[in-house]
Amino acid sequence: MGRPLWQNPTAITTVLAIIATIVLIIVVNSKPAVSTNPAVLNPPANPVAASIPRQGTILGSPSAPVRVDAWEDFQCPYCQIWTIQWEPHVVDDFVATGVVRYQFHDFSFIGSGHTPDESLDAAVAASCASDQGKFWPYHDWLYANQNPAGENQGWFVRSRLDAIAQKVGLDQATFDTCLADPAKPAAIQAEQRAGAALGVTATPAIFVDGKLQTLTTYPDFAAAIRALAPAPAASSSAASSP
Amino acid sequence: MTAGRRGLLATGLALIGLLIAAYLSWTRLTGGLPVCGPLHGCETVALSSYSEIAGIPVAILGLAFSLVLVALSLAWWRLADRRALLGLYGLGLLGVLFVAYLTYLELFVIGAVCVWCAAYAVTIVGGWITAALSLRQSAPGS
Repeated sequence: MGRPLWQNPTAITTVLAIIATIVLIIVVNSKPAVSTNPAVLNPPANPVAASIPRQGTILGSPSAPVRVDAWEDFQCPYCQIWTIQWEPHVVDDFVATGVVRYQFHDFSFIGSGHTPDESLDAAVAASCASDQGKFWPYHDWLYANQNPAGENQGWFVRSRLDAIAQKVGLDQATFDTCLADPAKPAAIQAEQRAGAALGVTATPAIFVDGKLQTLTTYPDFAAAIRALAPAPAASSSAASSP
Repeated sequence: MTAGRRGLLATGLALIGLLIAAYLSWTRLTGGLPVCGPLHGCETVALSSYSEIAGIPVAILGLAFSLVLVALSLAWWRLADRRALLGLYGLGLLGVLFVAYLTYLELFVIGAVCVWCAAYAVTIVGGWITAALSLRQSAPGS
C-alpha cells in the first residue's frame, strides 16, 4: 500500500471504469430521440385502405370463409407492431381477396388501476368512433400515436382523444355525448371478460377460426390461414409475404 | 470464502448474466411477436427509445459484455490470473454504474420495470462485489 495512488492498479482501473461509464451515458443520451411531445399527432403510416369493406370493428366480407379475431389493447406496444407490420399484410393478402373476415376486439388491461385508465378510455373513444362509422381510421390514429416510451403516461388522455377525433372527422358533439355514456366502458369491460373466457391472457391475441396463434413469423401465420382457405384463394395469395 | 470459491461464484454469476442476455437478444432478433402479458414492463422497456445504443440493441451489448465477463472470471478462477481479476473489477464497476443508469431510466423516464433486466443487474452487481472483495483481500505483497 506504500505506492502512490497513480501507480495503484485498482485505483487506475476504478478511474478508467468511471470515465468509460460517463462516455457510455453521454453516447446513450446523444442519440436522436423519438419525438415524445404529446401535443403532436403523427399520421398513421399504414392506414386500412378505404376500399376494404367494413362494418364497425369488422373488416372484409361477413361471409368470408376464414375468421380472424384480434384481441388488443391500444396501449400495448406489441399490438402496435401487430397493427403496423402484420395487419396490413393480412388485409392485403386475405381480407381484400375475400378469404378473411377480420374482427377487432378490446382486451383493455394495461391501464387498469391507473387514473385515468388510458387503455379503457382509448377503447371507449374507438367504440364511439365506430358509432360514427370511423372505427378503423380512429384505430389507425391511436396506434400511430402510442407513447414510444411507455404506458399510462397521459398519451391517451381526453385532449388527445379529442384531437384524434378531429383528425378522423368525427362529429365532436356526438363524440362528447358518447364518451359520457356509462354503457360504453361497461361494454368494453364485458368484451374483455368474454375474451378471458376464450383464453385471452395477453395481447395481441390473434385467433384464426377460433384457434389462438403463436406469432412467430408472418409466413407461418399466413400458412395457418391458407390451410383453412378454399383452394383458389390459397394459390392466389401464396406469393405475397413481408 | 476462499479465492477458488469466489472465482466459482463470479463465473456462475457471469454465466447466469450471459443466459439472461442471450434470452433478451434472442427475443429481440428473432422478429417474432411476443405478447403484452400482465408483467408488461418487459415489452415496454424492450421497445423503448433507450433499447438501442448507436443502433445496437442494449441486449446485444449485454451479451457481448457477459461473454467477456465469463472469459475473465474463468481466467481468474482456473488460472488465478490477477490481471483477469483486475479486469473483472474494472468492467464490473462499469457494468454496475451502467445498469444503475438503465434502472434509473426504467423507473423515472420509461416508467416501466423489466424483470429480466433487473435480474441481469443483480448478476452484474454480485459479480463486481465478489471481484472487489477478492481484490482487497489478495493485494500483492499483503
